[in-house]
Amino acid sequence: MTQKPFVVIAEDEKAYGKVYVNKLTSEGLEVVLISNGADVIPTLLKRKPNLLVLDLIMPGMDGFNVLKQLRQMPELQDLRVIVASNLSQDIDKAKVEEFNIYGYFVKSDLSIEEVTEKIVEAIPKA
Amino acid sequence: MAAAQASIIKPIKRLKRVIVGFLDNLSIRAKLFLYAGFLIALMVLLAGAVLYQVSEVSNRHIPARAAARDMEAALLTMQVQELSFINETDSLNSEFYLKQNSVSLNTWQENYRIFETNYRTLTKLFPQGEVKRELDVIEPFMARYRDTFLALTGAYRERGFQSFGREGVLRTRAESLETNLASSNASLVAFLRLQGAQERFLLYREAATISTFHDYAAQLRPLLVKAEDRNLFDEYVRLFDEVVAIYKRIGLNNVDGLRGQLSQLMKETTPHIQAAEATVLLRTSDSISSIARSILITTVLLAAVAILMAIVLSRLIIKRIDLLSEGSRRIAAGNFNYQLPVHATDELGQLTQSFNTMVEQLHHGRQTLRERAHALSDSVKRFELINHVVNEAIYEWDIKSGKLTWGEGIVSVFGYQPADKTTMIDWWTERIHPEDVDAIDSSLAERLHRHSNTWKKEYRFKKANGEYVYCQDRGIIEYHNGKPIRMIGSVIDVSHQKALDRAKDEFISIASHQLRTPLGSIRWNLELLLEKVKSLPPNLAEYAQDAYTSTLRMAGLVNDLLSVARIDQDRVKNIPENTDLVAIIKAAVGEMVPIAKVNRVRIDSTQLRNTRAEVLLDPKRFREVIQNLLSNAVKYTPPKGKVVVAIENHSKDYTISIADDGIGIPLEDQPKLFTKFYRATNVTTTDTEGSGLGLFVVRSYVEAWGGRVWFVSHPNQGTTFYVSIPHKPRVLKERT
Repeated sequence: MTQKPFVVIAEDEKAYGKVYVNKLTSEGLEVVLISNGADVIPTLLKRKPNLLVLDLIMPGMDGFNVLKQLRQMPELQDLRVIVASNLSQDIDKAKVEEFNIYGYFVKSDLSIEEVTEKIVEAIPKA
Repeated sequence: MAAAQASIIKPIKRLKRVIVGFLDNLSIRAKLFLYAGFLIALMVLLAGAVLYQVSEVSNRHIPARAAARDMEAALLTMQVQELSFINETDSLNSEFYLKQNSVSLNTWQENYRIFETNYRTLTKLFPQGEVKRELDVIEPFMARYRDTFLALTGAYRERGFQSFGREGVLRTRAESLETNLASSNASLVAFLRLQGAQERFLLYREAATISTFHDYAAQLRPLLVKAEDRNLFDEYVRLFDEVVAIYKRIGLNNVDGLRGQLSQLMKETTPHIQAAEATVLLRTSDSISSIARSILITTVLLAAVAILMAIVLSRLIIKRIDLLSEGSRRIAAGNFNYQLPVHATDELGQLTQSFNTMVEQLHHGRQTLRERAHALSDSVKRFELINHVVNEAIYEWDIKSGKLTWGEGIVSVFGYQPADKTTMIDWWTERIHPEDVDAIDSSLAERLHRHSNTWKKEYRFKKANGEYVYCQDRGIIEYHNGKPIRMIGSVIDVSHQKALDRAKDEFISIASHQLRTPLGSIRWNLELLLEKVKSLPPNLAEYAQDAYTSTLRMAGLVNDLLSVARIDQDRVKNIPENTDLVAIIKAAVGEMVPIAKVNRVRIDSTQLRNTRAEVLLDPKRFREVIQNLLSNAVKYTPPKGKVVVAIENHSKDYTISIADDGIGIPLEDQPKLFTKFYRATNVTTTDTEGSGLGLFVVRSYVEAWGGRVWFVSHPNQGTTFYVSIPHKPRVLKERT
């Protein structure tokens, strides 16, 4: 039996976090939820996930800085990242796009089914 | 005296006025013709007078001169012939002269006739006057001369010569006596002596000889014895006396008798004739010099008249030209009420009339101009006031010369000195933030190149205190013959507005995040709940479903609001890529079908089959456009209705039509349809949901691409929306 895909969710909003964990776990994924931006990179360094779902507005360290820093780390340079924010302004999107992200979606625009599909689809196939 | 003078002057003055008036009314050309005509008439008249005098000379003086000369010549000839005649009569061949027609006599008579003829000619040429008087003196002399001469010739004929006439008879008697007395010596001697005296007398015609003859005769008489001899002798003496008597008539010498008379007459006549001739000659030369004189006088007179008339004419004209120039001088000095007197209809009169009209128009024009200038200065004042009041710097840029003129705003808004109000374009360029200069240059160059009438740009502009502020510059560009000549516009300090915009952006950013976060959470949780809908009591499932629908609507509203905010700030991010319009429309239709089904509305997109419409634009924005129109169409179509989607390829664009058979748009709402937050009146009264932002978003995107959106609507029949997308849509520039 192959190992479960490992996904780190960086999301400070508890309501979202709960739904993520519920839904993705039921999809058979291993999920770690982090609600403080400052904790994201240490967690990633401890164990590199298959995918990072990153919110942008977070306490501790915002998503932009997290992205910026992790891209500077050799071990995390190739990490797949999906930005899941509620910021829909083009400028926000443009800011993160320069860090080689895999996808960007606005949470409130998508149903949880669509979000799950996107995440599952984004996990690299072994 | 004065009254009498006045009574003379008055009519003269009146006449002068009439003549001047008449001349003034004649056209200048007519005046000149009149002048020339008058001069020609005068010349003809004077030439006539001269010709008359010349003819006088040629018809009278020249013949008279000839006649007088001929007359004198004839007289001289007559005198010569007279002497010649007398000489001839005393010469040996006098017989021939006296018996036959004497040549001298004939010549004399011929000359007398010549004389007389010329005399008559002269008296005819000069029937009166000095010459006539001279001639009258001559006439009796001449008659007497002729008579005397004829008498003389008669006497000579009577006398005869040698062998004929009285003298011949005398000699014959003398010879008879000689013969008779030959017998007596004494008487013969005495007779011979007597005969000698007789011969001497005949030869010399000495008066003394006559008494000698008579003495000798008295001495001889007694010697004669015979009666016959005595009778013969007496007859001889008587004959001698007769011859003496004839000689005495002729004249013994040049001073007595007919010869004396003749020479006397000649002496008296000649001066008269000479005088007459002299007079005639004098007259002739007089008349020739008088011709010269009259030609001279004529010329002088003619010249004088011509000059006088020229002066009068020119004064008539110049006086009025002076009036005109005086008038123009006054008008030039600004006296527009000045009117030139018009009293004639000639060219000058017309000129004067036109001049007056011109002045009137000038006056009128000036008044209008003054009023306009007044109005203009009013508006300038107003403009200056506005300049003071508005919070912007108005400018005028003369593109050709580069001159830049600012309104008061450059002082009040940007803190510059009033002296900077008039400057050159470089002054402005130097005060633009270096980072903005290129963008301004290229946008301005592009507008000018495309002959656009407007230009608008935001840039950072340095205030007098060195601080850069955000400005918005809007200008209107004027062109002349395709070349930009002027730009008028205004520069507004928008830094405050910029700050507000930034605040708004942040607000929207935060708001969108803050609103979406709970919304997303609600949505996802409701979705999780609805997954378990079968395990819920039916009424609870319905509540959950309603909450979910409202949440979706709320999310849509938030998205619409964000779109509008982006459009308002010109912050639409546009990433053009090759896009198949048909594919996007099909996808949008596919998304809409479930909702349409709920509303029991059918979407017909069969026309889209097998077509493609590829253009370069941002597919996300286009999808938004179609989604909006489709959702409207579905929303406003009643159950069992139909929405028809189609696309047509035109020469320059694709036209997409979305037709519904819904409630239609009331006529009064149609103009406002594309404005923000507007919803048709008949929509708000129904329970159909809508933010009123969709069509605004649609129009904003489509027009940004250079396309057009419009509709045709009939209430209760339906509405068709059309969107035209150019084959080459305009590329939008992102603003940050």
